[in-house]
Amino acid sequence: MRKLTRKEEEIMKLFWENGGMFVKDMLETFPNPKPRNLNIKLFFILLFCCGSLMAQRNIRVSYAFLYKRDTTEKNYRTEMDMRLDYNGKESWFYSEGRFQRDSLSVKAFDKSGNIADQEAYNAATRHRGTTDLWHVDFSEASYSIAYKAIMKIFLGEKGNLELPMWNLIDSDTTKTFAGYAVKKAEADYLGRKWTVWYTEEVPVNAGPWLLWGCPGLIVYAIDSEKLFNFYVRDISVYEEARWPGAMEAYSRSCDISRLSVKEEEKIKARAKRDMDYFNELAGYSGAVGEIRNKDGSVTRLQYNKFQPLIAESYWK
Amino acid sequence: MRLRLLSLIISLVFPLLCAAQEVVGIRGSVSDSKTGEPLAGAFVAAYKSSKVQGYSMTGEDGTFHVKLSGVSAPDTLVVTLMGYASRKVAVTDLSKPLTIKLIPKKAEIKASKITSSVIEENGDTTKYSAAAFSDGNERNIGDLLAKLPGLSVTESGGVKVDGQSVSKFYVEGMDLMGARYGTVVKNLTPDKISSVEVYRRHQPVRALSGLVATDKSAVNIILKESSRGTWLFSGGAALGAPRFPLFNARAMFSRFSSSSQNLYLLKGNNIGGDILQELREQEYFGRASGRAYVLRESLEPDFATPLTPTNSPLSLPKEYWYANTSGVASLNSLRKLKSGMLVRTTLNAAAERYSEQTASREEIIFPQGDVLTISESTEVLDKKLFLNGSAELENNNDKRFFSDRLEFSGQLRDNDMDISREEPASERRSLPSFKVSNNLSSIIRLSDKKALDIGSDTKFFRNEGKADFSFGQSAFRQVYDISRLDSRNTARFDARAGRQVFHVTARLNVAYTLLESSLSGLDLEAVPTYSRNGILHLAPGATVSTDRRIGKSRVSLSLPASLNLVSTEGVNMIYPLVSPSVSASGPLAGKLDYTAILRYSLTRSSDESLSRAAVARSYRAMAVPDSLMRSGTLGGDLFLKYSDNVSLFYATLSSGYDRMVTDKTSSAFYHDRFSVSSFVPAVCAHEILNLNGNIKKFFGLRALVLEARAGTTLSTYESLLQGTRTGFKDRTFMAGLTLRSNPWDWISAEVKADGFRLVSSFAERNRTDRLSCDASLALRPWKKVSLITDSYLSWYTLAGKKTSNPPLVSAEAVWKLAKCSLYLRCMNVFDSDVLTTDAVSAYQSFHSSRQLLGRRILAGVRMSL
Repeated sequence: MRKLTRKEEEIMKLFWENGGMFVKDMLETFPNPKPRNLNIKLFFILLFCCGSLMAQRNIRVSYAFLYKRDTTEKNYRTEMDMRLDYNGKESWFYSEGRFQRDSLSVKAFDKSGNIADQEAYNAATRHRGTTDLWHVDFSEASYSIAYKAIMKIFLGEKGNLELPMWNLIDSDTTKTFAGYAVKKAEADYLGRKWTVWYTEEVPVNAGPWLLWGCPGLIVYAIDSEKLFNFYVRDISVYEEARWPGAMEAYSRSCDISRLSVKEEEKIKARAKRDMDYFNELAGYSGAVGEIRNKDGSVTRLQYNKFQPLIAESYWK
Repeated sequence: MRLRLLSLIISLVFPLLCAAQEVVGIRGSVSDSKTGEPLAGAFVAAYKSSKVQGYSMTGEDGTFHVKLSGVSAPDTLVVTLMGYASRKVAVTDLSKPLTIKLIPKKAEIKASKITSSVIEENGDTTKYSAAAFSDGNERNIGDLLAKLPGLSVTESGGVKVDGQSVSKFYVEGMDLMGARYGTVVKNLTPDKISSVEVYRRHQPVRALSGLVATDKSAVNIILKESSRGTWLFSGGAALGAPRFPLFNARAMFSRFSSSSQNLYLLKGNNIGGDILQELREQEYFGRASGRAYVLRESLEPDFATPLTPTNSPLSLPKEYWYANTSGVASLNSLRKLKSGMLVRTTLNAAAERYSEQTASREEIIFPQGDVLTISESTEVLDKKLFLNGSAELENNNDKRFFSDRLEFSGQLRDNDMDISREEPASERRSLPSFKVSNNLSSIIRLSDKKALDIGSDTKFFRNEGKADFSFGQSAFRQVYDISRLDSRNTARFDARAGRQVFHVTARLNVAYTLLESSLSGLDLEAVPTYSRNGILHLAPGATVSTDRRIGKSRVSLSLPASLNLVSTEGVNMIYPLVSPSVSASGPLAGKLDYTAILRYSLTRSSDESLSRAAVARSYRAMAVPDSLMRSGTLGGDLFLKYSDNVSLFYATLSSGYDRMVTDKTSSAFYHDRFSVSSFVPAVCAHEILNLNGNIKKFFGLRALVLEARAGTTLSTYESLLQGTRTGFKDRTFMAGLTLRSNPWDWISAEVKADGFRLVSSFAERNRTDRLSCDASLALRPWKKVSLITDSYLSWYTLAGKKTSNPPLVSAEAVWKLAKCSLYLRCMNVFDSDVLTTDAVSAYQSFHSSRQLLGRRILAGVRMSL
């Protein structure tokens, strides 16, 4: 960016103080010695040529997501490639492995949503990462959670994005995480007590999952039950928005049910715990939840344990 | 009673209404501290004793309103926005709107673990991580791009993807340099680069997106965060001897941001660095393609005339033989006025002094078996001054594309040649040229399925060539003065119906050429030596083309046709030209893609062929252009590409066949003192068949890269030699192998070997073999010290007689410091002074010895800030 000269700065100040005016009016208000009419015109031409002086920056953050399905589980399950895309107004949080492969899904499906490239489709759907997609629109103060059961998407939408009532815990000791100076904050949010570390070095108010609202990027987060844990792995800044809109191509192949977040979370929790219900949702029939043993006997698959990120107690 | 009841209700409800209207909150605005511009999207949070009380996002006008839920008033506001330093503001008075100014600050993104793969594919976009392919010894991004799979870089800095020139070269998504992007490729240092994106099937015109398909690719250079939007400097200076002072200096200031970009370059050397070629226009979006016969020395193709001398380049690094003193200045600026609209201005200046000393023996074998041998030694001195400037306005949005480019170029060139033979000869050429051109393109997207494209390309150039030749006692002068006004206008309509896209183009080309050719001081029997022709050429034409997706393939059909009316000196000609083609491309199976083209073209030689006067091209070669040659070419190409970014294996196979039938045949007649070439009316056919293959495999990206290539060409053609119709059949075979390895940080090596054989059927003697080997080794014995050696070996065989050249070796020691690196380079360590080469063509064989630049030592500094 070009620095303004002293005279130019004076013109700018006049402009801000007096609002819009013609050059001749501006000349009159200008203290002596008055600049030449041409100089003022030239300055505005130059200002116009500079265009947008600071482009909106977009950020892409890779997080590791560690979770337990139950408090009794000893070890964390991991998803090492969760990704946050944030463009200053909206954020998307999703599994990179699942959705970046959706660049393949652009190839995989044609415009009608039919499978056009079987190989790309296989590659896009082979990965076992979470199919959930969290979208936050900060300017509209709304959010949505998309849960996908094979070819059906349950889109939970909520018009009221709550702000976690962060208690900023400034301490004298400087801590760093992934090379960034971090500060701690705590809040009760969506039914759980969250402790996060954020960095003011990256001044964005977003974070992993639906965590947000700190005076810097959230680089580490853990809940009080130690069920869920997010930590940053890589941060990149881009001039252009990175979200490829792959979800759009992906979702064309699916039925979408629009629900409230509460209903979506309820369906998801039940489907995660009850395989028969999941099969029913996905449109599978028959003994998909059963394994036929060599001796001809049938073993029913156990129901999974599952703890949702939004605590079920929150909805009560 | 009613009134009382009403007043009671009002008195009860009114305080509630008042309470409801009294919204507690903080209002204010956020702006940029430097520009005063309101900032949208800033996050404003209110805190009371570090506990958040409420928040707001600023709107487009930069204003915010934080609604407070708590009873206690907040004491602090924290404002955060990417690209700005966070700001804490103490809140004292809630009723007064706050004005908060943010100071721009780059986010310091530190390198943490890299999670993404080094090659990311996203639809038609492939993104390569720069660091993964770099061994740290690349001088410019061209060296780095050449290491990426599927990419190659030409000597002048042109970038090719899968063998095809890119149509756009972006840095940070913006096209600063236009077609002269070689300056960036050859001067931007790789330490500034984060990654490289390759966009295949890239349509640069947004208004044509989804309607007009293209098979061209584009490259986007993504800078590291720390290098964006800030001034970068890269440069260096070196001095050396002998002969003192040898110098090599370069300074480049550049800045690449999303709203404006600048590049200012000044460089010069006299150590064999051919820097002028960086200013050459590459095949590019909006430029006429197919300039197949561009002279290597020419910065502007329109400045080439029959008098333009041809230098003979050697296939070894120029630092061994390019005896030059060159300087280049390039000023480039790009400003984005608003979204999609930009202004690009460039000014380039170049100067060069080049000399060459050659001793050659040329043998011409006649059909009767006689052999004419011409032995001569030549000294060339070439001086060139070049100036070019352009201004371009471009508006590229979803509905409309508009581009207008005004450009001028000027060149002063003097070429002196002294030839020693039995009778000494000399050639003195003075070749001033000037060109001005305007290129206009306007595209309107009429609807989702229709677009209209109107374009006009008008240029005027003048080449005022003058050459003085002497041979023994005789001296003669050739003047070749050509002025040409050329206007090409098109209107194209694109429409889509289902999966089918139709393009209809109407064209009107108007050209007027004023050509004056005068040969004085020489008596030629029956051949005119002076002519002054005004040639008017009108060519209305139309193209109908269509393309359609069939399965996964795209099939295109194109039928361009034009009617040409040429009028000159009482001669009026009307002839049609057509060039229909059909092509198909797409995936064949899995990772295998194919492209197949079948084409026919009926063309004529250029209007300059109607000069009708003898043109002395050199002291012993003369051309007599007097008519247009018509040629019809039927050909086909098949290109197969296998690309696997997971196993990093790449392979290509290309084959092509062309059969050209001409109504005139080139005739060469060797007289005592001159050879005269002309066209004589005799129908003949030429055929070319070629097959080339290439495989490349990366073992661990840098640990080992193996590339093998092989190819063969078979060509047959006919011409007249000494009045006798003679047929020739040439066979060429080539095979090559490149091994590149950077297994550990401290060692990096590359070996490249190429073998080439040409067999001409005309005479047994005309067979030549060439084997060349390039090897480089870079060692880093200590962290800050590198030792780099390059060597070149070549062997030639002509008619069974072997010639081997002594090894050419250069060595360099580099000491890296915090802000710069110091280097000491010794070029041509063994002081080899001559390179001997052998070559053959149809009925000629050449044996030449070129004077090399001897041993030289250079010490200098390189910086990149």
